[in-house]
Parts: sequence; structure tokens; C-alpha cells
Amino acid sequence: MDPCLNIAVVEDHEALRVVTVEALQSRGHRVIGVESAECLQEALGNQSLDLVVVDVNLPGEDGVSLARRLKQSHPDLGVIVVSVRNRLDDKLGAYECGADLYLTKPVSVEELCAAAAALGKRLQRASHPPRRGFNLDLQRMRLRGPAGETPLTAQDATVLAALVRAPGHRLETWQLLEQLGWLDTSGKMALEVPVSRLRRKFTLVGANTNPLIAIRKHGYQLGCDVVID
Amino acid sequence: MNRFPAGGAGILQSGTFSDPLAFYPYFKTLLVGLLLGVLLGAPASARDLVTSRAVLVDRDGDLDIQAVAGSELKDTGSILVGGYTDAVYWLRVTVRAPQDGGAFELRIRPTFLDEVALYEPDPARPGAWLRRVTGDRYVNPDRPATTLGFLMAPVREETTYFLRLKTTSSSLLVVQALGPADARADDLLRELTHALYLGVMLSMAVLALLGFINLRSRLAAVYLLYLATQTASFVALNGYLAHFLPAAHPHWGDTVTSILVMGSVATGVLFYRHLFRDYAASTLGLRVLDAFLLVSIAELCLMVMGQTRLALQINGTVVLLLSALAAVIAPTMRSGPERERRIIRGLVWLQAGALVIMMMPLLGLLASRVEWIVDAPLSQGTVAAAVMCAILHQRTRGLVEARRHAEMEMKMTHTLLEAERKRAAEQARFMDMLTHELKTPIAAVKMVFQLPDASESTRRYALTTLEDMDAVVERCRQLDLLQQGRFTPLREPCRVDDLLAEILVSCPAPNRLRLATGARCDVESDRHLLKIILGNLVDNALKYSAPGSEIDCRIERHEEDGQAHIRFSIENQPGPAGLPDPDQLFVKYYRSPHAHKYTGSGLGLYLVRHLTELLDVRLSYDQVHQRARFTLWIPA
Repeated sequence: MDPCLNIAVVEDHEALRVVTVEALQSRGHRVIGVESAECLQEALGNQSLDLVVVDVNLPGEDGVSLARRLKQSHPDLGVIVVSVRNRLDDKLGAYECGADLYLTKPVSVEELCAAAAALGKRLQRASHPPRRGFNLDLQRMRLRGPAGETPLTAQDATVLAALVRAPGHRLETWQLLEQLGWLDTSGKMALEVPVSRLRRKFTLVGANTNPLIAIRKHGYQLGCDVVID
Repeated sequence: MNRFPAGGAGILQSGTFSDPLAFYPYFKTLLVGLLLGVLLGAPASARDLVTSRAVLVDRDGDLDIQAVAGSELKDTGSILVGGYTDAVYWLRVTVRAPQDGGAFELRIRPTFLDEVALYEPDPARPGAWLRRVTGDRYVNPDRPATTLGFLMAPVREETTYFLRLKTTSSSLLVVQALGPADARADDLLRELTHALYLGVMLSMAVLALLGFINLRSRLAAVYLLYLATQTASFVALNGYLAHFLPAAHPHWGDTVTSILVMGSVATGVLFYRHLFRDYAASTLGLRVLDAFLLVSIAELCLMVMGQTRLALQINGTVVLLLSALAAVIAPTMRSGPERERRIIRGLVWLQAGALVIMMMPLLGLLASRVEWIVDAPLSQGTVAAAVMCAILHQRTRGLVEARRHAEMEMKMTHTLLEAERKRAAEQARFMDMLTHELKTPIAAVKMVFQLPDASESTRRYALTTLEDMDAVVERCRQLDLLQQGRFTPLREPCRVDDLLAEILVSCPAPNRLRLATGARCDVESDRHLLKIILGNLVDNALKYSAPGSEIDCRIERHEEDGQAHIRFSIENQPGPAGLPDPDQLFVKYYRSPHAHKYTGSGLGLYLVRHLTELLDVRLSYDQVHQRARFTLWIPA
């Protein structure tokens, strides 16, 4: 029995994206489809992610760069890169940036689904050695640190996950408000509540420095290493 | 001893490489100067005090003055021409005293004679003779600047003198008796002429040097060597060397002059050797020229062995043979342009003729009462140099033309190569576009076929994708026709609104177009091409407008400056891709980074731009209230 995975398909070609999503959904996975790295950031929120299927040519941040960034914030995330480029250099570049598999278009449904299943099984079997720094467990909504662990609210998890996944671990205030769905209803002062709460919880689990650094007239930046389990 | 300039070979490179013929006027001036020099160089006979000349050939050289004075001498002209001989020549000259009764100069030329003894009556002892000696082996502190000679004091109204000539060189002798003023004038004229010769030689050397620097021609280098030896021998032959030699070794001048004369002949041979080799002349002729070079070495050996007269005689013969041989070899030149070879052949023949005439007196083959014969051997080197200069000039022109031709060919090759590179780059861009734009939709369609339970919406996506792929292929076909120039506009009456209606029939969402049509939409244009233009604009608007938004389309008649147009405009609200970059909009294969949501080629608007140019239709793009608008002005 194939594991049920949380999968994101990042593909700018609409038809291919729709078909890929439908193909993976037909095998029992939970799949979202987005057209760019920026959209992925918005779509994920505090959802956990097991696998991402990403095209190389994307508007804005390209697929290889996205793979590298996701691997840094989600070390256990499976990454399948799909591209029309079939040169060895392209493949090696993608593997160096954290891709687990590199498939060349056109990819058959069977191959893609088999690759996703194989990667899912391997990720499930893989042990999770204790990591240094802090861990965000989105499934259990908990934050772990050197001094223990503490539960998180949905808002805490959303803010923290967004910062962990963001380029440079930095987001503008409006982006955080958008992640929380507060863009139209609340001002930036409202953000102080979840941010202050998160700082306290980081202290509880062993943070010695400010984990959420305020950037004047910009937003917030993560001040410590956090990975998403 | 006798030496003379050799008819060698020379080269004159004219001008710089960038424009060698820019020196051509200078070259002509140089030749004119040379001719003037020759004319001036024929010295005015001045007011000669010699009233009669008679000659006696002493074949064994054992006669003394008393015997000669008692012998009968044969009247002769102003010039003694004896050639190369071991005989002694006695010349009796009768000189009238100057009108003022003062001193006069007995001037003897040429200056390269070894020994000329003067016998004059001893006023203290009637019947006795006083003897004085001059020549290039003797110290003559009071000799005239440009000739050999003696300062004489007349004893009576008319005095007879005897001159005894013994030389290893050609026995060529001119004797004049001039008063002091005439002698100074003669010296001055001769020095001016020599200065002009040297100036001409220097000018030719400069031209050759420029050519050598610019073209690195070996012929030019050899010509420079020839000019150097020729000029040095000219200076020596005209007696200037004697003024700079140590008094203890006056004979050095004789030796150096002989070596320089033979050297100038050798370098002349070398010049022709290079010239004929460059033009692929007869191999046999080149071998004979090689032999001449060996003869020059043999001449030096003869000099060392004390056979200077024989060496110089051989040297003179080599000059004559070289003239004849060059004239024979010249027609065998095979490479190079025919015109260039013809000119060089003519110059070689000209030089051969001049050399033969000028060398004959030295070899004793020509006697004349014309004094130029004495100066001819001296100036023939300059004439030879000038002719060689002309040859070199031709050669340089040929080389420059060849280089220009080569450069032009290289440029053409570069141009072709660049065009080929561009074509290859264009091909690569095309293949890149095609690969990316078709492989992605193919992947989508393939996956749909592999999904047995694909939803209806997914199947519609697949169908749309196939239509997009078909559009890409159609654009590529249109691009190919455009690039091959196979779109030939054919003017015919048609209506813009009818064409638009035909397009909308096959349009996937005709209901999104809000059409406003005026009356009289008739135009004279190519129906097929106009339909492609309109179709591409409609397709572009549908594909990149906001999903479901309306597209405004207007067709109206417009008069401007007496010219009627049908103005067609299509305006839409931009979709997720945003407004396009106006600077890149009509560039081949350009697609906005956010426009890859759908399959496309990036060729539609490129084709529109080029087809409108073909049809003389004005095309514009502007952004009005954050809406994209394309407008066509079609001549009505």
C-alpha cells in the first residue's frame, strides 16, 4: 500500500499542472498545484509537506532555487524536479541543489506516481536523528528545542512555518498578515500578539537569543535555525 | 683602377601599406629630379684652354718621355676611351695660356684612375721635362675637389704637355684646362649635381624603407642594400673618398672603391634574383644569376691575388651580361597579374638598354667625342637605381593589391562566418523554443491519455493544449515563409470586418469580443496576410487577457491629411502575466515570464510586425488605463 503523501506540484503550464495534480490525486495523495514559488509560499500556510514536484522554468524564482530553499527548511522533504532540459549539467545542478529525482518531460503518469511512492516510502523509513536547533512539527503543532517542547497555536505555526520557508527566512509584514488571513481585517500591530507568544515559547524550549527579529519598516526575520519535520 | 657602378637590381617600396600609392606623386617628382640631375650632370664644357689632343698607345709600357716626344702621335677627340688594358696611354695636349696670363688648372677625369703622370717643359732647361704624378693611389693635397689634376703656370702663349696614363681600371680619360674662375664654376656645378644624385638616392632609400617596414618585403631589403653599396661606390668613384683617407695610405681608396664597385654589382644581381623568384621566372635563369653571385666572390679572390684589373674587367662584363640576361629572363615571369609583369618587363628592358650604352665606354667598346661618356658610368648606378625603384614600385603595388584582395576575402569570410554563426544561434533559439513549448504540452496530453478516469475538465485542457500546439506549428510555418520571402503581398479589395468575422468563426471564445464596426471597411490589401495579422492579434488578446474579461475591438474609417485609413484596434485587460514589456513585445520568441501558463511560440506579434511592414500597414501598441491596445492603420 502506497503511503498517502502531502504533495505540492509547482508548474507554470496550467494544463500540465492540472493533469499532474489529478494524476497524483488518483493515487490517493493530497495534492495542491501552484504556478510559482511565490504561490507555494502563500498556499502552504501551516500545512505539512512531504513531497514537492517542481518544474525548473518558473516565473520568478526558478525550480532549482526553490528546491534548494525547501531542502534547507524541510530536510526531510522529497523533491522531484521535472524539466524539458535533459543535459547532464542540468541534472547534476539540480541534484546538487537537493533534488531527490530528476525526471525529463514528458513524464508518464506511471513513472511519476511510482517515483512519488518510492520516495514516500523511503522518507517514512528514514529515522529522524535529533537535530540541533529547533524543530517545527506541523502535524502535531509543536515546537521542539534543546530544553524541551511546547505546543503551538495554529497562528503560531503559520507564522513560524512561513518564516522558515521564506527566502532568507524573512517576510514583510503584509506577507505575514496574508498568511494569517488578516490582510484585510487587521493592521500590523495585530501581528505583535503571535510574535510575542512565539518569542516566549522559543525561550521556554531553550532559545537564548531573539528568535524573531523585527526589521523596522519591513517585517520579521527568523533569528535561529528552525526546520520543519 | 677602374670601377663603376653596377647595374643591379633594386627595389623601391613606395608608400605605406595603408595607401602606398599616396607616394606616387612623390615618386614622379623624384624621377623628374633625376632627369634634371642627368641634364645638369652633363657638365658644361666651359671654356677649355686645350687646343689639341693626340694619343700614343705604348703596348709594353716601356717608352719614356723623350721617346714619346719624338714619336708621331695620333690626333684624338676630347675623350680617350681605351677600355681594360695593360697598355700605357700617352696623351699630348697643347694648352694656350689664359688671356690674363695667370695660372690655370689641368683637370683630369675620371678620378678613379690609378696613375697619371704629367710631363711639362722645364723652363730652366730647354729640352728637359718636369714630372708630376696624380691618381687615386697618390696623395694630392692641392687637387681639385671633384677631379684629378694639377695647378699650372703657363710658360708661353701655347705649351705642350704629355700625360702618361697607367691604370688597372678602364683607360678612360678626359683632360681640360680651365682658368681658376671656370674651374670653380665647374667644381660647383659638379658638386651640386652630385648632391642632387645623393638626394635622389636617399629619397629612393626612404621609399624603400617605408615599403620594407610596411610589407616586410625581402625585395625591398635587398634594394636598400643595393642603394647603400651603390651610393658608397658613387661617392668613392667621384673622388670624395680620397679626402678622408690617411695620407700614409692613399692606396686604400683604390682598394675600397674596387670592392664597393664589385659589391654594387653583386647586390644588383641579388635584386634581380629576388625579383624573378617572386614572379616565378625561369629556373634556369635564376641558376645563372646564382652563378653571377659566385663570380662576384671569385672577383674578390682575384683582387686578393693581385689581379685587380682582371677582376674589374670581369665585373664590367658581368654587368653587360646581367643586362642581357635580365632582358631574357623577364618574359619568363609566370606568376602575378599580367599588367604588372608587362610593366616590369618593360622596365627591365629599359634598364638593360641603358646599362649597355653606359657600360660600353668602360669596356672600350664605344668611342665618342661626347663628354657624357665619362659621366655615364658614374651616373648609370643612379639610373639603374631609379629603374629598379620603378620596378619595386610596381611590385609593391602588386603586393598591396594582393593584400587588399586577401583582406577583402578575409572580411567576406568573416562576414559569411558571422552570418553562419547568427544562423546557427537563431536555429538554436528556435529549437530551444520549440523543445520547451512543445514538450511541456506533449507531457500534459500524454498524461491525460494515461489517466483512464481523467475528468472532463482535464480532457478539455488536453484539447486546448493540442490546439495551442497546432498554433505553434502554424506560427513556425508562417515564420519560415516570411524568412524565405515567400509572402508576396497581392493587392485586392477586401473588407476588414468580413475578415474578422471569418476569424471569429474558428475562435475558441468569440463571445468575449465586443465588436464595434463602422461603415465602409473596404481596403485594398492582401487578404491572406491581413487575415494572419488580425488572427494573431485576436489570438494574442484572448490568450493573455484576464480570464473571462471582455475584449474591445473597433473597426472605423479614419481620414488624416487627405489619406483614408481603416483603423482597427483591439484592447484587453491584462491577465495574470501583466502588461507586456513594450520594448520586447515584437521581438522574436519573446514571452513574458508569466506568460508560460499557456503554450505559445513568442512568434505571433513578431509576425504581425513584419507582415504589417510588408503591407504598408502602420502598427502601434499602447497602454491605456492599464489595458493593452494594438492599433492598425490600413490604407483604404
